[in-house]
Amino acid sequence: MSHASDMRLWPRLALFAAAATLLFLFERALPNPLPFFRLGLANVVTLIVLLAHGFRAAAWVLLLRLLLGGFFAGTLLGPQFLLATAGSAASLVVMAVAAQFGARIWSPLGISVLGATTHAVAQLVVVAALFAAGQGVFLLLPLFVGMALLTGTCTGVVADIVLARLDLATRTAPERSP
Amino acid sequence: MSVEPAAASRRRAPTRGDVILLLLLAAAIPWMRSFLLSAGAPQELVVLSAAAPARALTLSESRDVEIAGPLGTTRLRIRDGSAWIVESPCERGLCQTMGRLRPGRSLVCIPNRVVVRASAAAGDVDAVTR
Repeated sequence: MSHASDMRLWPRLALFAAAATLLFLFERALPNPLPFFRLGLANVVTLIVLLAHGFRAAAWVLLLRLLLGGFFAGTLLGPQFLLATAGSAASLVVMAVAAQFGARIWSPLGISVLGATTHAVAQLVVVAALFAAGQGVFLLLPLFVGMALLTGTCTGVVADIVLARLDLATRTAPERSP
Repeated sequence: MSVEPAAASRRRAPTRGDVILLLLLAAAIPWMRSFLLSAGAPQELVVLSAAAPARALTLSESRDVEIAGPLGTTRLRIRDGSAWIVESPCERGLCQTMGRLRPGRSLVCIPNRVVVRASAAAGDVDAVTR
């Protein structure tokens, strides 16, 4: 990683983190009939950064989004924050592995579905482990996985479209010389 | 971390792998459901009536059970590890709308003074507050 590319990358990651935070806050503001059902719009950004700039970049954007989102939503270090952190960290790791070894099998759609499913399972595991809810919460597993398939498909399609446009933009843009 | 997106190695959605993944996960949902529900499902039920001594029945054997009550006969159907009331001499028939017996719950016909209680499997919750 050269110094020059670093200088171009960090502002871009900051923008991605800002976009993810905004999407996160926007989604929170939407009326929500089901307390545990979330579209996971902010995860679109994580996936895009992961596929466009790699794991380290995605981890940075995710960390910034969790901290900023938690701060502005007032959930920082609370139970919701803990769940979101565990869910999205596990999801990022699985998506990174899938992107590394399954890039010829899956498009961003498949990787997104894997990530969303991991997110759901990880949250249930954390609830069962930390909040003394017992094994009963795993009865929600089929529902959560079903939701994750829907939301993962939605976010995957969005990520796929955005990534294709990003590729197009970087390929057609004239090279800027320093 | 690189600035340029690695476009060459990325495929557009949906690939065959995406579809297979979605189908596999979707197919796993009913399986997970039946697995989880059978783990916590009652194996036995207890029938209490004001007009007959209490008796314990197993859910594994499919059959219809007649329960005598002060008003007449309440008929309980046991099928595929589940049980529900199909007929009762009560006026409003609420017990027939209670659906299937769930773990830790009861089917009740107040007018005919009949209670069918699921004896929950060990390790299940004692109670749920709502």
